[in-house]
Amino acid sequence: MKMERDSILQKLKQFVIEQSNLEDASFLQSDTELFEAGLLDSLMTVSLVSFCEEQFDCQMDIDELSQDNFRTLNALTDFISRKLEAKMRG
Amino acid sequence: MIDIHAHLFHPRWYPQAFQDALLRDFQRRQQKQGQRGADAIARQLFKMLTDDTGIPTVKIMDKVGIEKRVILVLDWGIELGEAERSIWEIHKEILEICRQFSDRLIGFAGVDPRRKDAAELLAWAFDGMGARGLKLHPTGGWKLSDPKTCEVVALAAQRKLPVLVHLGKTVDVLNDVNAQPEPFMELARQFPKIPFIAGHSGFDLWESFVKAPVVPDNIYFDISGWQERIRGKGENILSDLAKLHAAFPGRVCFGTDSPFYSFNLVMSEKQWVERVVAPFSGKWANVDFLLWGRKDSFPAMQNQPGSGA
Repeated sequence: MKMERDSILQKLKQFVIEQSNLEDASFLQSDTELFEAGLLDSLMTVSLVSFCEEQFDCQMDIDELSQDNFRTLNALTDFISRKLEAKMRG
Repeated sequence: MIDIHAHLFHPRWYPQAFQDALLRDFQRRQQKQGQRGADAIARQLFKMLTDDTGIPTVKIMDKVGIEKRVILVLDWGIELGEAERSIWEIHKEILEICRQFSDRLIGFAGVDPRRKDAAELLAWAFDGMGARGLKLHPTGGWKLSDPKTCEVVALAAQRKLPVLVHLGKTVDVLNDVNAQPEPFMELARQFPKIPFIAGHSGFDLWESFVKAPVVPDNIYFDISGWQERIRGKGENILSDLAKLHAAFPGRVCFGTDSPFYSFNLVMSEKQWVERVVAPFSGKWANVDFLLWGRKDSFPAMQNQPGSGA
């Protein structure tokens, strides 16, 4: 499960870096506050949700698009991991 | 806090041409911010925008501290082709949602004055469906100075209801040539006893009002859509807002234009509220008066002879 979590984290990080056109992504850590750092806004969130649903084959309800779940890459990774686990349990 | 400018979205209520334009606008804004890969997000975008029950909207309002929200009906049927639902059905569905949440959502009717049944539609919306104001979106082939526009505004004026007019830029299938401050001010002069709200304060045209020699006392301003004007951490917006508040004390209203900027994301709505509301605490217009007509809280008009709303 750890490998899978790392894989999710790396994919998310890569997506944020690409979409943000960051020249220097060294400051982006798994616990960087995405909204505070200006990396995530409503436009970017739509794209990010679309990416997650497609990449990880999980559907997100509007209620789940909360600051808690999208605060950091770690938080988003945990959220997606929980969704995938729930999906596997059926 | 009352949000004086918002909408409910469902694809059946809007012309297809508008929805296509909305998607193009989203892609343009995304590219402007340097973001890429806007393909394949249309489905996601419309899923997030959609609310045809009012339940998600009220949940968001609870979470971000918005007490009430004005829900504006939009009518581009003549200009862009009719939506899946008729304009009557659209009013019925949206105003019924507002009635279900009557303590939170306040419906405004919206009509293209060129419609042959515009007067009947508005009378029914105001008197039968509880619409508390009129929204005009002069971005099609009609003018604020047209006699037909005056006729529909007169229906609102007879009922002492406010009129909110979109001013400034719009999506690419519409045109802002008729959505300008000057004809708006002229219209407000013709109906001095009711409040007029400059939608979005005209976006980048807001300074036209500040620089105008005389702005009628019954004109108010909403800041919806200014989210798009934010640069960096938003200092430019706070600076511009300070100038607007200073020029028109007690006449600036909070607004969001939700869901078109927040996409119904709590975090976005919360950020907008936190960014602009508190810094101007005590300076915002009393929107309750604009909506319900309490004269004692109508700062601009209460000293105007003969203007009793």
